[in-house]
Amino acid sequence: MSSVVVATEPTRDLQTIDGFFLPQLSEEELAELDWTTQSFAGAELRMPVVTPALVQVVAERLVAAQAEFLADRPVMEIADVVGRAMSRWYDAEYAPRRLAEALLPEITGYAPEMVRRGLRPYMKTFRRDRLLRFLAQDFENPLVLDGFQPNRAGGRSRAFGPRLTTQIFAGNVPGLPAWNMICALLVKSATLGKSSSQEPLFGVLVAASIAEEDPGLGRCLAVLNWRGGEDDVERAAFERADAVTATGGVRAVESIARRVPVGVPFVAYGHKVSFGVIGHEALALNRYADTARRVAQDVSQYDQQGCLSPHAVFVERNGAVDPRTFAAALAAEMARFERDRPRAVISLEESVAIEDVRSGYEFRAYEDPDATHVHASADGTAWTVVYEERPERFELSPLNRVVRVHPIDDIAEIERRLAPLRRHLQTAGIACAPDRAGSWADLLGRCGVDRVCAVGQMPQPAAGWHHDGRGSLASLVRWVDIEGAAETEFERYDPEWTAPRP
Amino acid sequence: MSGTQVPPPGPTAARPLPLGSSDMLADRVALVTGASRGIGATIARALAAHGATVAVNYLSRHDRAQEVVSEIRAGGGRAEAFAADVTDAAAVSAMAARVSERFGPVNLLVNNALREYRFDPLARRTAWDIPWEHYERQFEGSLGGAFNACRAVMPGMRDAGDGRIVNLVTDLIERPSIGYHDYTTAKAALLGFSRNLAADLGPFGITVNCVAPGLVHPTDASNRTTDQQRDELEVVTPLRRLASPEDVAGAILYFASPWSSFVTGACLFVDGGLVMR
Repeated sequence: MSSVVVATEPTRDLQTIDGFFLPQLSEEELAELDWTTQSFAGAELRMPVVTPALVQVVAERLVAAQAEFLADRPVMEIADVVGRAMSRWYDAEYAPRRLAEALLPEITGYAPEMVRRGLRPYMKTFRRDRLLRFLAQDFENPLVLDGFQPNRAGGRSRAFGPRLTTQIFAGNVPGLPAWNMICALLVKSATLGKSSSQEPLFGVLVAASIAEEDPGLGRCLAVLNWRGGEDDVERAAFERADAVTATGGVRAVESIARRVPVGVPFVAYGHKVSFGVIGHEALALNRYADTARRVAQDVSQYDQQGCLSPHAVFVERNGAVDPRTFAAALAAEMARFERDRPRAVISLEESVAIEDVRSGYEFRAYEDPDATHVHASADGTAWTVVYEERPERFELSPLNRVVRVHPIDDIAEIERRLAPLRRHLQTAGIACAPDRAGSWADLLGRCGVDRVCAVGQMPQPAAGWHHDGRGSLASLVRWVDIEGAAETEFERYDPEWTAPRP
Repeated sequence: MSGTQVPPPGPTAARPLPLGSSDMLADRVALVTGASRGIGATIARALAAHGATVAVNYLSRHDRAQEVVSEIRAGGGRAEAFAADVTDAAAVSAMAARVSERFGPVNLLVNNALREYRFDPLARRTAWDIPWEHYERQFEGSLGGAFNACRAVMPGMRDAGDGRIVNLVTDLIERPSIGYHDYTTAKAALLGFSRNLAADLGPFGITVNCVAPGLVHPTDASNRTTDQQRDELEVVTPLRRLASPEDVAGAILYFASPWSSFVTGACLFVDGGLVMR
C-alpha cells in the first residue's frame, strides 16, 4: 500500500549489483577495467566499459574454458547440472530469485506481480526432465552430441556445437537469456552474451546460478553489456565465435546480420506477430468467461511486448455468445488484470499511438455502431479492446495492451488476411474442440505460423519448442557424417588383413 | 523504460483513492480498531477522506499507525493514533476516554481488530485436531474485542441519541471455502452479537451492522494463500476477482453515511457475489 512505499523509499539504500558476469577474469584484471553504472529506481548495476581488447581476451578464455570443461562433458551430465542449477530457482527464498523479483519490475517497469507470476512457470521450462525434451525435440538420439552414432543412411553422425556462440540477448521480456544460454550449453557451446540495456540483469543471475552449481560450466559463460551496434566491439565479439544468435527487433537483427562474418552461422529471432483464434466451443455459456480471462492474460502478460503476445483475436460467430459479447467479456477481464498487474508507464509516443488507434475506431463506431466498438480503460491508455467486424487488413497492434477482436464465420477466412504477414507470423493461441485442432493447425501452419498453443498459454512456450520454426539446438550444430560405404571400405584395412603376421 | 524513469512502485500504490472524498462524515468521530495496517488502515483513510475525525487504534505497530495518521493529516484530515489491546476492557475504556477528551465522544465505531491469526490454507488446523483453546482465543479477540469497544462507546452514543457501529465479519460464515474453524466460528458469533445489539440499541438511534468480506488481497493476512488458490477463487466469483481493502472500506462508508440511516442488523457481503444473501 502507498503508505508503506512512502515510508520505506527514502530510507532504502541504493544497492550496487554486478550487471556483468565474467568469471574468466581475476580480481586484479577486473580492477584494471574502466567501470560504469546504470541506475534504476532501486539499484545500481555496475558494469565494465566494454572495449574490443576486453572482448578479445574474454572470447579467448571462453574458447579455452569450452575445451577444458564442456567439449568432452557428456550431454546428460550437462543437463543434470543445468537442471540442478535451475531447480534452485523453484525456491521462493533463493536469493537470486528474490533479487530478480525485486529488481526486474524496477528495471523494466513491469508490475511486480506480473514479473513474479511470469518468472516462476518460465524457470520450470528448464527443469531437468524438460531439458531432455529440448534434446529429444532436436535429436533422435541426443548422444550424437557426445560421439558418432548410427544414422539412418547407414553411416554414423556426430553433432558438434559451436565452441563459442556470441549471443545478443533481448530485453523486452524478462527471462529470455536463460533460454539462449541453456540451449548453447546443451550443445556444448560457450556463450559470450551481450545483455540488453533495457534489461541487463537476468542473464547475469542465471549464469551465476549455473556457476554456483558447477564453476567449470560457469567459466563457459560471460555476460557483458555494450551499446548495440558498436562496430569494433561487435567485430571482436563475432571474430572468435563459431555461431551468432540475436533476439530483437527488425532493425537490430538486420544490423547484426550485416556484421556477422561470412561463413559464421547466424540464428536470428526477429520481429514476430502472434494472434488468437476462438472456436464456438470455447464460447459455450459455461466456457466463454474463462476463455476471455485466458485471452486477457495472453494479451496483458509483459504488456504485449513479447513476440508471443497476440495482436488480434479472431472469434467464430456461431457460438453461444456472439463475438461482440465476447469482446465485452474480454474487456472486463483486461480491466481486472490491470487492477492486479498494472501496465508499465509508457512513453508519450506510445500513448499517442494508442490514442490514435482509439480515436480512429471511435470515429468509425460513430458512423457504424454495429460494426465497430471500442472498449477502453477509463483513465489513460491502460488497455483497449477494439471490436471490428470487417477489418480491411490485419493491423498490427501498437502494443501495451491493445487488442482487436474480429468475428469470423470460418477459420479459412483468416488465411487471406494474414497473407501479407506470412514471414512474420509466430504463435497462434487457439481454443476449439479436439477434433478440429488438427485441421486448424494445418491451416495455421500453411499461413506461416510456427507454434500452435492453447489460449492462456501463449506467453509460455513449452520446453523444446522449435523457436521461430527452427530447432533451438539443431540450428546451432554442425553435423559430421561418416559415410556408411566408407565404414565398409575401412574393413579392407583391418589389421587382420593388412598387418604382417608375426 | 530507460534507467531514468521511475516506474510505479506497486499495484496499489500511487493511485488515487478510488472511494473519492467529501465532507459527508464531518460530524463523525470514528474509532477504527486494528487500523495500523491492511483493511483497517484503508478504512481509516477512507473515513478521513470523507470528513470523519479518525482515532487509529493499534496494538503494537506504533510506526505503522503513525504512518496512517501522517497520511491522513497530509491529506488535510484529522487523525491520531491510540494504542490499546481491544481484549483488555480497561485499556479500551481508557482509550475511549482519551479519544473523547481529544475529539469528542466516539459516534462511529468500526470493530476491525482480531487476534493474530495465521491464514494458511495448507497448514491450518483441521476439525479433528483443533483444540478448544484456539476457539477461545478467537472468541476473545473477535467477539471480546468488539464487546469491549461497544461497551466503551455505548453510553456516549446513547446520550447523543445517535451512533454507528460496524463490525467486520467474513463471508466464510456462509461459505467456508477453507475451514478456519476458530476464526470463522468467532466471526459468526460476532454476527449474532451484532444483531442482538441492533435490536437493543435501535430505540436510541444507534445502528449496528456487519460487513462480510471475501478473501481480501493484498493484505498481510492473505499473503500465505497460493496464487493457484486465489486464481481458483476468482474463477468461481461472479465478479471474478478478489476483494481489495478499498472494496471493504466502500461498504463501511455506506454504513457510516446517512444513506444507511434506516438499515440496522444487516450483514453486507463484499465478496464479488460468491455469497448471495
